[in-house]
Amino acid sequence: MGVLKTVNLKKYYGANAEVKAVDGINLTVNQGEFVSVVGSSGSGKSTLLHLLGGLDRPTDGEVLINEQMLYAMKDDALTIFRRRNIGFVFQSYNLVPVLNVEENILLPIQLDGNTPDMDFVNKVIDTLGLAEKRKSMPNQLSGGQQQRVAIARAISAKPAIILADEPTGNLDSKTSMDVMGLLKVSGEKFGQTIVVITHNPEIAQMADRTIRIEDGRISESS
Amino acid sequence: MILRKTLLSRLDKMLDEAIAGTFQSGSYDEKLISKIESKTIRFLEQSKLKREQIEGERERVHSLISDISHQTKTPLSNITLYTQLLAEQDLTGEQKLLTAQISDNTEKLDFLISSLVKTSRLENGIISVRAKNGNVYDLVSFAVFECEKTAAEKDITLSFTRGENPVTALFDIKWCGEALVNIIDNAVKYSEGKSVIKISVHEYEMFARIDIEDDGRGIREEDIPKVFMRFWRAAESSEKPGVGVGLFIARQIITACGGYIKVSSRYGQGSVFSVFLSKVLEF
Repeated sequence: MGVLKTVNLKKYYGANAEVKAVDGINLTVNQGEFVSVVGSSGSGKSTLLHLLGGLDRPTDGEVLINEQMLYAMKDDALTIFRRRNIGFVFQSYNLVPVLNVEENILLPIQLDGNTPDMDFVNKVIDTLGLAEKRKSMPNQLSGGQQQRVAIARAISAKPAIILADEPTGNLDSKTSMDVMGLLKVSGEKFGQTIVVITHNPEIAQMADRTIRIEDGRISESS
Repeated sequence: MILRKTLLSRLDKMLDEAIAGTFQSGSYDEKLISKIESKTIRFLEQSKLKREQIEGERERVHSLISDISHQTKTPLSNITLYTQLLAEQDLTGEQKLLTAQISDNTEKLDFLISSLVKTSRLENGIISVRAKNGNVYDLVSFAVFECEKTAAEKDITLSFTRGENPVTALFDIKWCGEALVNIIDNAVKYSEGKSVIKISVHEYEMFARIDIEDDGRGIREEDIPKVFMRFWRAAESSEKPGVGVGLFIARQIITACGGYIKVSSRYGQGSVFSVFLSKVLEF
């Protein structure tokens, strides 16, 4: 069953739709899959990710997450749906600087008024090698460690899907492999569905499936 | 209004308990909440039952596979034996050829069945892979030693230098050794004679990485995601011996140890298989 589905998804910019950033993409991502989306800059892959995550409204078409139509929802409903169902990992780690590692990880769960499943959260923290950094502040961590916290935060909320936009864009190649390896291993361990957008072929190779985007269309899928 | 709020927060708590699997009915009375509690319990029991049915089905599939493997063992070894006896007779040239064919295929069948059993056991977690901290150089030395004979037959050199400082990671020497042997054997199989297969170890903060680099025929880009699939073989490798389970098993094992395998390849220029072993995960 597809966790994520897009139906003829389009995003055009300009008065006469002269820029076709995403131009009719049909895509299905299954439960537990690790999919990479590759393409050169300007190919429309970031726009696609924003549409998948409900961060931007499409010109036409629909995105379904667990059979729910994202863009049939009003903005307020979409915001809440996003918080409960989609985990994001961005190039900039977006940690709250005044909260420690553990507090950062628990924040999205608590924001939604839920009691965290501490057994699960502890397992995630161990898996990402953050057990000793639990009480550290973000500015005491290296870039790779900060991104690992961001990944732990995304997984701990048990979202339907994690969307990662160039998650290693700010890291050196050695740390990148570490971070991506942990994303892959923890995805497998916790049955998490993950979509990673990247221009780095080495990172794309780690996925179960690679989708190539060119000029807003899928040019190749394996 | 207050009543509604307490009711809703009770419901929220109930669901939290249901998710955690600790839900129990509080009281039995004529109140609506008591009715909802009873229904919740019934619903949870039903989903539990369904889960148990699925588990049971999986068990049955597994025992079927182990029955098949067990029951085929005796006839299979009989075929091997009789074929050997047949080969010792005075045979004409063509008869010899046919006997050799029989014994080749019997061997293949034997290998296939034992691989099937192994994968089924790995998938169902029957074989426990016990990953312990160890020196990755020991693991690689073990695998290289195992593969040297097959490589020497094709005059292929396995180049590997042990580093001075140990690189520790989590692995099960027996199983991960088999995984590495499968990958190296695969590289040997698809490389030209007299070539060199380079094996190297690299260290990261969270992982240790073992690269197996060949300059064999390489893998087409569209085939890369398929190389780890069970029974998959590239269209042009049908003339090579094998059934397409080696890399599949390798991946199962490495995943069970908390690591992963990645492959990068250029068609016609060779492939690099990278095995990443975790340094911190406890599974």
